[in-house]
Amino acid sequence: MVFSSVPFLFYFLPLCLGIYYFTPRRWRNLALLLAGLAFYGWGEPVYLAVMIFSILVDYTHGLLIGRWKENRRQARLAVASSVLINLGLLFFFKYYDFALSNLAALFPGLPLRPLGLSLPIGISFYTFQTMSYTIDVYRGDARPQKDVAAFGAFVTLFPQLIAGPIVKYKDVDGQLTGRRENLSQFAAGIQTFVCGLAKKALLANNIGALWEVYSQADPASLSLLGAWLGILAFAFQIYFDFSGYSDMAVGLGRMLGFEFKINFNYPYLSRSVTEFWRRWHISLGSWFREYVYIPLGGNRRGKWKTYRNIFAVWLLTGLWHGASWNFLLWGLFFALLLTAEKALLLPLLQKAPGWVGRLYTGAAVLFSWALFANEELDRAWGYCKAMLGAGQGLTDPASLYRLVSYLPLLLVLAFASGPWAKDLFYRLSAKGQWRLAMAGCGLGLVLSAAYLVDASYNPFLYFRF
Amino acid sequence: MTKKQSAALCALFLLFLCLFPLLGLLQPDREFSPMENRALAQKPAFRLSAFFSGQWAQDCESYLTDQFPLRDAWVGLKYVCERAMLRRENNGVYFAGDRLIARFDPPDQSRVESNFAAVDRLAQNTGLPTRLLLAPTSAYLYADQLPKNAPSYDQQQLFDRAEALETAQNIPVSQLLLERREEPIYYRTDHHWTAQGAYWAYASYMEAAGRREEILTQEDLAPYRRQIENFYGTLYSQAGARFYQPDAITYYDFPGLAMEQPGEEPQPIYDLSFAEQKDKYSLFFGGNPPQFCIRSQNPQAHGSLLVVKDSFANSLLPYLALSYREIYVFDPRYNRDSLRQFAADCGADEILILYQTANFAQDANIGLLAL
Repeated sequence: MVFSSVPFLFYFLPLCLGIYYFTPRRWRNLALLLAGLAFYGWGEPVYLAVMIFSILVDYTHGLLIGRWKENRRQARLAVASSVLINLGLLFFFKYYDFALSNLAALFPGLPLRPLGLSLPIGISFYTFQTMSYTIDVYRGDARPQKDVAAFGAFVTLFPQLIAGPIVKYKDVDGQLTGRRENLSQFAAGIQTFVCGLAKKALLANNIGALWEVYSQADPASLSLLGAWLGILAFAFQIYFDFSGYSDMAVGLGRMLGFEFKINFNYPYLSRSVTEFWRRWHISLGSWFREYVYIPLGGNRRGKWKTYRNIFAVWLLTGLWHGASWNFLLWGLFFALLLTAEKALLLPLLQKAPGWVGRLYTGAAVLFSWALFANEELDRAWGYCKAMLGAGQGLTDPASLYRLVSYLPLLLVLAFASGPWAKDLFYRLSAKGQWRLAMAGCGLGLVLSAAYLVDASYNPFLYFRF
Repeated sequence: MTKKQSAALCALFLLFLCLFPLLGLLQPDREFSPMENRALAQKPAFRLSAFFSGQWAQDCESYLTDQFPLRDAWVGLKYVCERAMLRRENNGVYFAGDRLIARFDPPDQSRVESNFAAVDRLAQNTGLPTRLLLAPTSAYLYADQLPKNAPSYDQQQLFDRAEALETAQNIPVSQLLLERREEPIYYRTDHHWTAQGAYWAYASYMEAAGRREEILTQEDLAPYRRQIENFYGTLYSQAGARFYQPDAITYYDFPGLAMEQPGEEPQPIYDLSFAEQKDKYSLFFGGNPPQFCIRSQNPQAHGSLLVVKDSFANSLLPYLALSYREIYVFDPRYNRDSLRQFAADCGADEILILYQTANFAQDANIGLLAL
């Protein structure tokens, strides 16, 4: 099920909230677990099996690691087994066909057949979350969870189940059993949720329709304006789609008494790529930092090891986004930029005026999106070339038309990419804030409902993550 | 936020979420949306196989979305927002002043070529005088009213290609219609031409078919003219538009014409029950039957004609029906029978292929005429 849909918003959510709050507190995790399973099973009942398997495996591994706390060797074996099973699931469903098709290309004689399985929704998110659990328990950062309902509720927590943020177990350990829902948290959750819903239904879907036009055009036929307009549209679409989803998750979490960390912090205002990645998909970045980069030695083992670690993390980050070469290339592109910044550029960028850094970061990110959004390498390469002027001419009438036609929306998107609206909001008096929150939530809900009821374009971008 | 204020916000939110499902329980499901001119999704039957494939969930989503309470109001609200954001098109329809114009995307050139070739092949295969009449879309006639720089395929390329037909004869009408574009020759909310637009095409056809003396004048027509008001056409539905002036449909209630469909009693050529419905254009022949025959009792009528057509022919056929004893009508979009066989069976003397340019350029079924 997708948040930005009529069944979720008007049926699942009110029903789920009703059941949740009428359930006595000690049964609430079970209620959440069942809600999560229903939410997940709605679109893909078959893959419920994978999810339940994942819950049971990590639950028992957590207990085993807890029992063998004193015996490091056995505990290490258990955590390795859990990580292997999780990565195995991920590999089998996400990367098997990709690996196979590349093997087949290398050795044409081998009798290899792709399985053609569809990706279980959210598998990249929940396998990472469950891995964080066993690793945290192994490291002593979290206690093993004895209550299977509480653990199941953590894995299937529907707010962040299918599109993040990736919640690390230790961040919610206490909340799983000790949370106390309250009215002001619920009200805060509503505001965050409606913001996210509006971002997705009103902004992301609308600008996505503009990218749709350019994503289908032959890159060689694009004008300079067309290539940049197209990728700008994609940049806005993915940001508002993804951060809107995260906001909805954080908001829903609050309604259920959870506090998740924010996932996006105005990334498009960054003055360096390093900063961009501290502000974009924060939960993924911090997952890789904590469980890959730092264990590899981080930046404490000399220059070259640091660079090696950056490359390792970013190739994995690229691959995490999809089983396809363009995502690897996308990760590599960022690894190169981050290394260059670490080695050379960062001090320069800090001294330069702010707009220099923003311009550089903006351009780098837009080129990266050209790699990200065009899955075939030829297209990705062609699109980058078109952005450098190798297409047809400076402008074309159709792109001019679209620029004018989308200009008001683009201005709204640019404004919404920064913290300005929020700053203005907090300048109001307490009463003013409340009034604006009421009006804003009302309007946001009404308009989002209109765009969901008449949804000509409402894609789900994360099916491959 | 104080406790009271938080409670108010929660109440607002929960009321909004619960109100619409409850309203939905109270109102009966609709089968058809006149405003959008389409069938709405109905409650899907539960089947285990559909459940496990995820199809049932998808169908439920379409059902709940289509039957959402006050659906028309939501669609209208979205339209208002889009206009407020200065959008110039919706769903492939341009907002062009007081007129809606369908966007014409560049067609597949090989399809275009094979369709023109199929017209020539039909002429060769049947050996009958075969004429092609291509009606421009309003994007051609009112190009100057399109939003500035709006992408729009140049239909002149199709008219030029039609001039180069080898065996079949082309009947050019685009220039004539362009000259008459100040008249109400096309609907503003629908993609079709009006009876008046069809009239000029009819006159061109009669001239090309050597029937100049038979052309009805506007004075001849006046006594039979009927009008139906409040017509909102397909473009209006497609664009989800609101607040446009409705069109009026003119039709001519000629005596002595009957329409016959295989296995049915002869009927009048107009099905006036559609006059009360949204889809008023279907009053011509009750929509687009796959095949039918119009018989004329007009003593001056002579000859028989086979018309291969899309819906643009519907408002032109009544004029022709006064001049031909029989007109056999074949709509390849809904009829997969062999046209060659059909032509041989009906024994028509001439063939007219009548399409709107966009349909002609994109319809895969036209290629079947060559068989």
